[in-house]
Amino acid sequence: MMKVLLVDEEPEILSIAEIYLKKFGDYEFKKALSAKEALDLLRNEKFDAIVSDYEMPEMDGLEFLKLIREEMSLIPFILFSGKGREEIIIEAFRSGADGYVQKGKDPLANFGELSHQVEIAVSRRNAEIELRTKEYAIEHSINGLSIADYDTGQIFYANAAALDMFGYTLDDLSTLSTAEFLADGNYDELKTSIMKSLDEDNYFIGRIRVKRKDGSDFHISVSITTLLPDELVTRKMIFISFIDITSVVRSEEEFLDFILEASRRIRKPVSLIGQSLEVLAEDIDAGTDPEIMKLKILVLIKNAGQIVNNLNELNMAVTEAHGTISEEYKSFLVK
Amino acid sequence: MKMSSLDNILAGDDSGLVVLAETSAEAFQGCTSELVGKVTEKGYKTIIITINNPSPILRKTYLKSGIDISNLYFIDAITRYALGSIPKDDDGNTSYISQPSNLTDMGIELNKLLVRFDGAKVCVIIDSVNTMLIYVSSGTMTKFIHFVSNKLRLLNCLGIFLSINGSVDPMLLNQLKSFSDEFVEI
Repeated sequence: MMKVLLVDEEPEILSIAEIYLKKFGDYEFKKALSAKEALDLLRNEKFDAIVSDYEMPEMDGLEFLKLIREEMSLIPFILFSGKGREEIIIEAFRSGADGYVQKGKDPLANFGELSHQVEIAVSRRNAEIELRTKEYAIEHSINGLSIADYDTGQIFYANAAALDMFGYTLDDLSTLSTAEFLADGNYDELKTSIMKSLDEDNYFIGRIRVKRKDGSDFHISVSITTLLPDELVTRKMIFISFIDITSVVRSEEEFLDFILEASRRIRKPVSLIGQSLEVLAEDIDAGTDPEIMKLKILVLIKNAGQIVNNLNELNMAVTEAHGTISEEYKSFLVK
Repeated sequence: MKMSSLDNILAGDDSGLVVLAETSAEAFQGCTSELVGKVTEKGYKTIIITINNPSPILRKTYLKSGIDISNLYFIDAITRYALGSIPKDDDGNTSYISQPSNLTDMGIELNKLLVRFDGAKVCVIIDSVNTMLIYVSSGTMTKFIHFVSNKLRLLNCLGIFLSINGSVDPMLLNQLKSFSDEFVEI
């Protein structure tokens, strides 16, 4: 249901408008006999559209419209006036009116047109709001987002996060191609892999190393989607979404180093202790001095104790002293 | 036992040379005795930094192998730690370190001996990098090995770092090789 504010100095017109407009759509109306009364209503309630007369005492329809627009309200506004003067129509549109309907003698046709204009204005404003919301989301996303030509890789659009991550400005964009961002030496191989994935599945998801304008490099997690042409957008494009994962990659590398260190200080020493015990068994067979064997056993006990300490340290580090392993490390531990 | 490559090294100008020597776990004990025997025969004052076997055991083993131990000096980082005390039959040629992770004291004792033997032919053997890894991180160990390597080169001493093959991963082994002038399998 659309909530419409009807403003006219004549109560009869308001009543007629309500009766006729309801024939053309699902409306809820609030009525005001002056612009001032309408402004009071607007301060307390939300409306989908305003239909206002031009000639009203104290404040005419154009002044009313200007006041609303000055207050930054973009609510759809249709001027419904008995006056059909060209200068009023021009001034109305200049001031931000969304439609103009001249009051006529055939009420059915007249209110049919008014309803149509209200519907168009509201749906256009809703579309603008939807588009603006999407633009706002894209522009303010912390993910880097960009759109490029499928064949040439030339970039048409990059949001603020993308520009910030790579250290470029909007002015740089027209000269840039996606290829320039790849930091890996195996560029051809990487490009082939991405294009193959786009050809076969229309998307690519992966991690790649890229370089900034200043030449420094960083890691991103990227998804690339093929945007196929349609009636409006006739060329094939790619939509690229990415996020800086350098800290994650560093953390993974550190964790891998840690696992390797754990192997050095736990698995391999345990294997050495096993070998030393074999030597001890041979010592027993060879009748070696019990004092020497005792000393060897004491060394092995110390070594084993240290390995247990190492294991405890590993446990504390992996669980970050919380007793549970963080999600980011689980994949490594089950590899 | 493949000592020939080490023989070649000992036959040449081995002053200031740092060697990473790898051996199997089974042959380790025999190899080290033979190695110490060859080095002492060449007239080296030999400093053995041991984290692996207590010096009393090594001394007995070497004596049993007919090695002249009068020029052997031990920096023993395991006996005091394992026994909780210094052995009674200490011959005065051994410095006991409180525990294997105490690389600072190990370095200090090594320095003292190198100063004491200034001008003599000196060989330093580390037994072994594997055992050291139980007690210190690989980063700390490589720093220590690097420090010792540089010290020995500067003083024209021979350095031999023992390692059991397969018990040090390739990445770390490559790092250790980069600190060494020669890598031999014995």
